[in-house]
Amino acid sequence: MAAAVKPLQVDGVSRSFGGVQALYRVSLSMEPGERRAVLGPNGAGKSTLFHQISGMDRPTEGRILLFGQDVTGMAAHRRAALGLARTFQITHLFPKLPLLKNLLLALQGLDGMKFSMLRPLSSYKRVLARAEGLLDEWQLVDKRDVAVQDLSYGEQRQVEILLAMAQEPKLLLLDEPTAGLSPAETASVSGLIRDLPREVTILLIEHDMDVAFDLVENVTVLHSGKIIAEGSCDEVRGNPLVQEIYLGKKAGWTQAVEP
Amino acid sequence: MSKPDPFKPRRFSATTLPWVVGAAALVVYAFTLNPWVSLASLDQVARVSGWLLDPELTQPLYFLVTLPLRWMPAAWVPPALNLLNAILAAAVLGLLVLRSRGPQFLILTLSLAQVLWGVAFKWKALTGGDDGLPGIPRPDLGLPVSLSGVTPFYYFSLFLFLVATTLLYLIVRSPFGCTLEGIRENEARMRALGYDVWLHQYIAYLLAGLFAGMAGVLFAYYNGFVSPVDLHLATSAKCLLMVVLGGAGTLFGPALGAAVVVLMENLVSAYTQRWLTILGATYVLVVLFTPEGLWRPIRRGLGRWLPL
Repeated sequence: MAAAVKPLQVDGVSRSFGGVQALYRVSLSMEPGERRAVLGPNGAGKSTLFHQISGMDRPTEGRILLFGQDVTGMAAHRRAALGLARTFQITHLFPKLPLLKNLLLALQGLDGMKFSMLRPLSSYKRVLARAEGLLDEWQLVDKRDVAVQDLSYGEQRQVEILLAMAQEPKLLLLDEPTAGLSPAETASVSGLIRDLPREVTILLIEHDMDVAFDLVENVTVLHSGKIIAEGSCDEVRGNPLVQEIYLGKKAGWTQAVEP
Repeated sequence: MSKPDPFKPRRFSATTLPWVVGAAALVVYAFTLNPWVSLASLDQVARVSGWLLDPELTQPLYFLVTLPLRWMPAAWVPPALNLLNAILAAAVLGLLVLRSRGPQFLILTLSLAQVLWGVAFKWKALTGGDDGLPGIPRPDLGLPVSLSGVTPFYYFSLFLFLVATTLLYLIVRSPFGCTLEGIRENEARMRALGYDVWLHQYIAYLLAGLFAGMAGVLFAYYNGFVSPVDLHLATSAKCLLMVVLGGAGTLFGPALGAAVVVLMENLVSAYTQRWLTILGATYVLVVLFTPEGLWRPIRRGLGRWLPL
């Protein structure tokens, strides 16, 4: 069997905002079905990296490949069509619309019927049935007609992932899925991520090392826009530099990575 | 047996029709504004396109363009051409203004409208300048009744109003309409979900141009007169007022808003010169007491029985 196409390859990507170097020559690649976390303190460039991969922003240098195709200059919506889905660190839903409509919007995004103008959306039985099925699966059926702004924060974080999964992605980017959740909610959202289909390649940003190590096999640690460690969970956990950054041993982390 | 009241108008049409027709035309006009304000949160003024393009204004151009339009009954050509022009104007303006968002979008649109107004005002040969273009005859569309009469024109306008309303009602409920709603709520998420946000907004802009063109044509035929004033900021502001008064983000709100404004314009001004003051006061009251517009509270009341 020929080597499987890598779902994601980031090749020497830099992004600077004026004088601020948010990302500096970051490279990483993922195997099909791999689950990897991007760790790093605030301002390390994790979200900026996600914006480059998802096409919300363009790198100042470097290349990004999705499923073997160079997408560096490609618009975000076309990357979605290739099989990429993402969630956002700050909840990005359609707050005033009911949950069902949120889901329908996610389902029709990659469907040609989104351009149809004269037939009511509610008459598309196929899409409607899928939405109902997903709500059932995610145990949100009773919230179907509730505006998502009225859902609990934990449920909103769950919907954040649900919308992305509704696209049936091959590569899923999760930007701090448990941000701001209570320990109990964190446990339920991590459980949910753990149970996602194995064939979906997942790249995950996480603040909390314990949550991350519980969900992924491999870790990339980003600090001040640079990759400072990469490897399996155990390797990264044992890395002295990472320990310094996270646990503040010795002189604290800002000094630790200065060349 | 009641005696007929001598003061009661014997025919509905004689007294009330003129402003009803005006209202119908403006309602269509305000509708066109609405898909944007309501659906894509771009406080748009795309109807600019519709106003410029009355039959007289496009006379020289249309002489050329009519050649391939020979198959069409001659009287249908001016209105049809105006609709086409409106869409074309929207197609051009859309490319310019859709590069911006929010307040910038509004300012850019209004600025472009003022530019068009300036051109129309100075270009006397084409537009008549300050004097405008009087005496625009209503077209003979081959209908059983002539549209020159008040009553037939009223029903004609009402018919087009209903057609426009129905189409917009369908569009709002369609996948395309829901997409616009999604764009209003969260553009970034829509892009992540695979939507070409710009394309959807551009199509909506073209649609707005079409409906605005329709309203503009009706308005020109109704008055038999157009002037550059119709392109002026004040006209845009009036229509924005209709939308806000009725309730941006709803389908029927702007219709209600248009009806209120046109009603006041015609009824109140019969009693006092200060109808603008009263309009202003109404606006302030609406903003104070029902900032979401007049329609939403009504809809909540009716909601139990009607799928609005």
